[in-house]
Amino acid sequence: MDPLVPLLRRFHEKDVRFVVIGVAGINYYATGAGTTFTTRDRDLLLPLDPEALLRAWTACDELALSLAIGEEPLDVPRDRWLAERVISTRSVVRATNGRDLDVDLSVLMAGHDFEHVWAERRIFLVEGVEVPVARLEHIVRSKAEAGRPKDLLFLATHRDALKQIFAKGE
Amino acid sequence: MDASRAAICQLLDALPDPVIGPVELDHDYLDWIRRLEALPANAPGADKTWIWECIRAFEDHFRRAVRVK
Repeated sequence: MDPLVPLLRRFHEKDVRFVVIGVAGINYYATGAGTTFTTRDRDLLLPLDPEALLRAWTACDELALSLAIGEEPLDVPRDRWLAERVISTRSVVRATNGRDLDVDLSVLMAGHDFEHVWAERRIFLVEGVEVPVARLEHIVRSKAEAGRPKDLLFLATHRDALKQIFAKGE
Repeated sequence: MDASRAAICQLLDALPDPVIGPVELDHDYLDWIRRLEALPANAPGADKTWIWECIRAFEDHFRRAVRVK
């Protein structure tokens, strides 16, 4: 079982809007093993809404996932004040079970805002659970916009993988 | 991981990510992305349960690998 699924199910129950972004999001568009990319991190983009953030943190708590910003555990009490600070600093909160699930809860996607990404999301199914995923083009453009060496390295690899699929016979 | 390597990793993690970009995406790449999005396998509602299973199988394969020569 995909360890992410229980968390996504809990997010749906609590009306937490989210879209999968990052390499994990790109993987949902894979056509086979040759176009999947190994990653430990699952990146979820959440809206700039402190109440949604609080519900997301509660969902993580209920599944015994620990929450941290960087190396520091997320403060308690986890109240609206803290959620507003996390949003204003665009901090990434990591939820982990310490084994096979590392989820980065982010409110920032380079070059994109949540509502636009949400409006054009694609919904896939995993073990019967709806998984909202950002458009592939949005994720790739975000990586190009961020421009970190690891993003550019990934884009070169991803471009080559797509070339193998689509450039044959052209 | 030994202590010195752990210390180096900790130091590197503390550094901000260097930035090269932003970069422009070329026409071919964008075209392939749109074609990939448009495949029937990527239609809304497509079952993607196999993705995680595929990645986990890949990781398990290499986790079990041992050097024999």
